[in-house]
Amino acid sequence: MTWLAKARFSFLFLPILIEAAVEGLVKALAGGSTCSYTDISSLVPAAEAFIPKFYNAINDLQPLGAFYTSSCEKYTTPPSITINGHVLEDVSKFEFCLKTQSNGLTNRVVHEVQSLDAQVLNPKYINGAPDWVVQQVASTTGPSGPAKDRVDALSIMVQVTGLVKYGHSTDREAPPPRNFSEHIVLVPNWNAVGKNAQRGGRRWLIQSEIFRAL
Amino acid sequence: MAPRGTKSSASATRGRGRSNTPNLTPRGGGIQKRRGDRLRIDKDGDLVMGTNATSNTNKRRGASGPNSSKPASRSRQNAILSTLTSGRGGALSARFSQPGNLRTTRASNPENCTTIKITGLKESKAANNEGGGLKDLISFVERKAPSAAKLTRSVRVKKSRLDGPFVYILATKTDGEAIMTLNNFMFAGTPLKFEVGPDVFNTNTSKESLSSEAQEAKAKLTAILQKRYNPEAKFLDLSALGDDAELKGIGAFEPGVLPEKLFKALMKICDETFKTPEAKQEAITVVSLARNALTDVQQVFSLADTFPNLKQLDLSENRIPNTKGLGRWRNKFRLLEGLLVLDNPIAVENSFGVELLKWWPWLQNVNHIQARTPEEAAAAAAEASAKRQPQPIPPAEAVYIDESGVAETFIRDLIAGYDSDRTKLSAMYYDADSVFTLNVNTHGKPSLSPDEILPWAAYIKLSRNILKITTKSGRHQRTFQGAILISELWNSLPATKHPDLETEINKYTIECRPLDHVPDPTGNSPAGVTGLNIVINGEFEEADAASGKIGKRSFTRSITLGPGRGEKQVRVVSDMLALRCFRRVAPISEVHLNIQKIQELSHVTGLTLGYSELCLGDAGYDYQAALRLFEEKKHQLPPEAFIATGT
Repeated sequence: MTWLAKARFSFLFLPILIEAAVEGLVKALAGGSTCSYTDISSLVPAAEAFIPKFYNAINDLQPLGAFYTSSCEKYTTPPSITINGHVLEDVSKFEFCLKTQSNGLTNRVVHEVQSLDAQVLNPKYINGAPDWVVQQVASTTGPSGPAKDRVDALSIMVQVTGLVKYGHSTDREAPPPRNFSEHIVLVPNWNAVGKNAQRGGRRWLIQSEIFRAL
Repeated sequence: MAPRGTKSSASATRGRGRSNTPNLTPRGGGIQKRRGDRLRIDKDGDLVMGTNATSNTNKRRGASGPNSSKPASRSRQNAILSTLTSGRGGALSARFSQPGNLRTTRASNPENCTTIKITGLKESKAANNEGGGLKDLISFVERKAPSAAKLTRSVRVKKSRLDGPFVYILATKTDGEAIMTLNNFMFAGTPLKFEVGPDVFNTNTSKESLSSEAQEAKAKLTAILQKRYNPEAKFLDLSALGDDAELKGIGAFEPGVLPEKLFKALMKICDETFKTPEAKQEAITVVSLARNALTDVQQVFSLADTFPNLKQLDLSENRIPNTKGLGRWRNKFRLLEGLLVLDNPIAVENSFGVELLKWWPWLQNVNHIQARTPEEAAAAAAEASAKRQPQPIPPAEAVYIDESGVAETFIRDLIAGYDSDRTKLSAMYYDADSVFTLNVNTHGKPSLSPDEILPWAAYIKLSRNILKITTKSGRHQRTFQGAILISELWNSLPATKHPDLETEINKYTIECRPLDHVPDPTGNSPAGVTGLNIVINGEFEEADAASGKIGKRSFTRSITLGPGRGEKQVRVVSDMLALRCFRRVAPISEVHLNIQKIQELSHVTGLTLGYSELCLGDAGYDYQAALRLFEEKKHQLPPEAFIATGT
């Protein structure tokens, strides 16, 4: 039994963990570790902002192209999309699946997000990045200068669980609701960083997606 | 779905000189050894996913390089997928939870076997399932027979064949006796009839003569259909079939009454003649079934399956008493525009037309009377399609791409290690930069019986569900980085027991795909290397220390693997565990059938679909048991468990 186990139900527990976590973070920042030159706390807001918009678009049958790396020409490989075990070649196939599923009617198939978590996968994500970002990432000290020039060169693993509802809950003919799990890898939209950034573009894009209704 | 995870991995790794014996040895030295000879890291530091020279050539150029690995991995993927689809007979895959495979592989000794004829599948709701519901029926028989016959051993169907309305199965004499006790059992809403049947599996000679007889009958039927078909009018005249002298020559039947079997044979010939739905619609839009002494549409129901897009239908001079007699076609013929039911008892009813207009949105003309305009019909059709139920994206087998076996080795170590020695597991695969988080989804309803529900106390304080944990510090506190911290955390969590990866693989769905640009700890590839993303959906048993309860939870765990540094060849980059209330996850082959059971139970009990699913889940998807459970628990259920009446 460790100290942690004994402390499980005590209020001491969280403060102890804080210390431990902070210690880990300090160690990481001190170098000698692959983590993390940039402010990784931005990753959670990234997922927080992205996920509701993404599922709203899915429930509304809106075009989804702008959510995927295929919308940024800096990414040369197509996003990897796996829905219920079907490997879809491109975003339009996914849109077609969603449209068929709901008979073309918006908000008839509703994805309700019930839990959400996110972690940094690669704290120095430079695939497709403009040169100045690559240089910034390569410098060990991290970015300096005004905040608007700072770039979150990260890839983020997002875990979502929730419920898919089909039709109306009072409708006995409707298919029963199903749990789902979804894992999305978000990467930066290189068109949305730096001085020539597109206005209004998404900051993060989907590189990989694995969805499964359970 | 699920099982397929590891099952697939098994087929993907076969031929690598691995023993076919399922890995039942306790972990320890064995793992090290396997890791040693199966794991390779290529020059660029990627986890080797099957060495493909072309995929490696451009990688060194940093940022632009890794992109080139993708096409290669796609083609590998195709190769693997094709192995998977054809790989059912793979040595290991056969061992993974596929007792059914024996059905096709083992030769049967006719002396010791019984052939049983089962009637009723065609009428059951399973008939629309893939393969006509045969698979569902067989699994039903194998599952039910032991308990019905009060046996402790399992019962096996050796061979099965779907033949028109009948299913023939072959089993040993003793198993056959057990199976016969299932006579009149309900299956997907229909009672099944079991009888000892002709030995259709072993008699080659009689089969030939039978088929030549059938050939002859088929030729006759085709000739009859040709005579009754008017291509200009796109009209197929099936009126007064009971009085057709030529038809009578084929099968003996009561004068004036048309046997269902014969009608189905006619429809089958139509299906074969016009291969596609478009061809059928092009060739035939008008059908007459007048003067067939029909009291309902049971005998001729298959007309709706063969000609779903019919525009005009004549049912005059039959004996249809009321709209109920047509009820089985209610959701068919979505394009029907004109209907004749002259000289039927139903025609006396005043309001029958109103009812029919509700059923068939395009219907405009009933008994030569214009009931609504085409515009009104179009509006009704639009309204009907708005009411159409969603069609969930069908589940497919898990995508599992792991040529080198890295993921398989890891998954075995993870499941075994998490259950037995978490410290060792963390030391094996986790390093100072590995991150673990867990989150709890508290929304699900776990069971109809509250005393079987495990509390969340052991996890909830650690749950990093960022919908709930909104402060920066709160989120940081719940992030566990480094092998030491992770193992300390794990050791504080309740003990678990995961289902066996060999024998209970159907309790998992395991997906695995390559993931580009994961960190390279050696620093040789600044743009990152190709790793693996594994997603495990499954369940585990848990003993809750505080309450002493033993129960189950469902989980989803996503692990990203990348190459390690030094001794560790593989490291966990990210480990995310999502927990929720236990719900049995049905194997893909059972999903459709289960949905029908859920809907049926909701109909019968008035439970919402969610609660119907819960109830069936608790009853192991045994419909009768679920009904009994409902009767037992119905007074304890909250009001929201029931569909509000009057809506």
